[in-house]
Amino acid sequence: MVTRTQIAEADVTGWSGVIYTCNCGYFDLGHGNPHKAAWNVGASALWEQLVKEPSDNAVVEQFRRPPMGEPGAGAANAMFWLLHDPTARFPDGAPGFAVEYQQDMGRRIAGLRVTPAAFNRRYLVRRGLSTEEKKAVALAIFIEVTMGFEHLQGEWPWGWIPQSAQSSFSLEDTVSDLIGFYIAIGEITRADALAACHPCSVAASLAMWDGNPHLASLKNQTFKPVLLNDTRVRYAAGNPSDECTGQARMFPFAFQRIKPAPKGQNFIDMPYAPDLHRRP
Amino acid sequence: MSERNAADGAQRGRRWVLWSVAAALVVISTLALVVVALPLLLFPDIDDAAPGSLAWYLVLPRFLTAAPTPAACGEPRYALHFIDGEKPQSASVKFQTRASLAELRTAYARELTACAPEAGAAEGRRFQCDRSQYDTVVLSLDPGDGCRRAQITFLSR
Repeated sequence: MVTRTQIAEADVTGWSGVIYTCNCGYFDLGHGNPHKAAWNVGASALWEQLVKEPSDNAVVEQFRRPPMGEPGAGAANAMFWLLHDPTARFPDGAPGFAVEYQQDMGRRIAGLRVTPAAFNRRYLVRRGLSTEEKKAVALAIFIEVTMGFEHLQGEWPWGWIPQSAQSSFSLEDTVSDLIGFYIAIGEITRADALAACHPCSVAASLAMWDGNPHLASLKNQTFKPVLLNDTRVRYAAGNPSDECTGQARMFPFAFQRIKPAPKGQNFIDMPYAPDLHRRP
Repeated sequence: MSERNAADGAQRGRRWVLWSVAAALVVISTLALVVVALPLLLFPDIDDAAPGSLAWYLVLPRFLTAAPTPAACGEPRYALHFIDGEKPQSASVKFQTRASLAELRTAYARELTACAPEAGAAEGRRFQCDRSQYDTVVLSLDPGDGCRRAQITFLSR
């Protein structure tokens, strides 16, 4: 979520705080370093799993665990089929590998991540995909989990906590997440991402924030930025200046190039015991 | 005899009611404390905590409150923002200082142990760390001479 203080203390060269950008709206620079927090947390962790294609042993381990929110029944049935065919398969018989991705909320206490609010999903991804196909799968997974997590933040019980409710689908969240994703998968460098967005100065970002009080409560449930129509800023008694003059004021194509893969083709929800696919 | 028994019974009854009310008050106040304190502890969203404040003692991590403020010309202020999906936890100390960037780096030598300057980032201002409490340290210092704004930010995934 954006606060006035985070804009006032933004440091573009140090990549911290929030800044207004002409082509990507308010951008949370904290997303610009998307390395992984755990093997299944962070856009980099998601991409690493897709690149490495975990072994079948990892898939067998996934089958043992029920999906989020479901009781742990039927594992014996799963193990029965896995003993006969330890390869995880799609309905058409093609082999797959397990991918798990999570977004969560909490803090570090004494070096440990304490994140009681988490949205976690597991998927089966077809083996042997090209890098482009993997990027499309990664984006689809990323979007699904991001949307799930943002909804989770706004729903009971987390929605009763003001910090969580305010953060749910906040103005800059999804777009900053998406830019971080493109950096994580190596589509664009951090410097090029920032150049494509074209950041304004801290003073201009603050002036625009102060001039648009509705932004603080605005929710954005899309992966497109909220761009201000009027980016002119008047300092003291001088003429208004516009730091976005000459800019396209459109979300850069660099962050729209990959189209998310449709679920069911190259990736599916991780089949749980009762739905396990047998070798045809 | 029966009057005395009745008086005892009434006294026991009053005592029972008093104990029940006291127990209920303890349970309710404990629950209220948990409901208020837990979100603050787990999802801190602090922008401007002063040294010695309640947040400084109870919520801010020790490494942050112990962070040096070299050549300070004003009281430090502290901020802490929770891990929010893809956004890392951010803990920062902000203060006015007369120190140069080099002096800041020297003062933070202990915090920057097991850290390396990040490739491609502004020279000597952003460090990647292999530490349990934070992964990245950002040193921000306003340009110019004299008393100016410094901010040290610790990012943790």
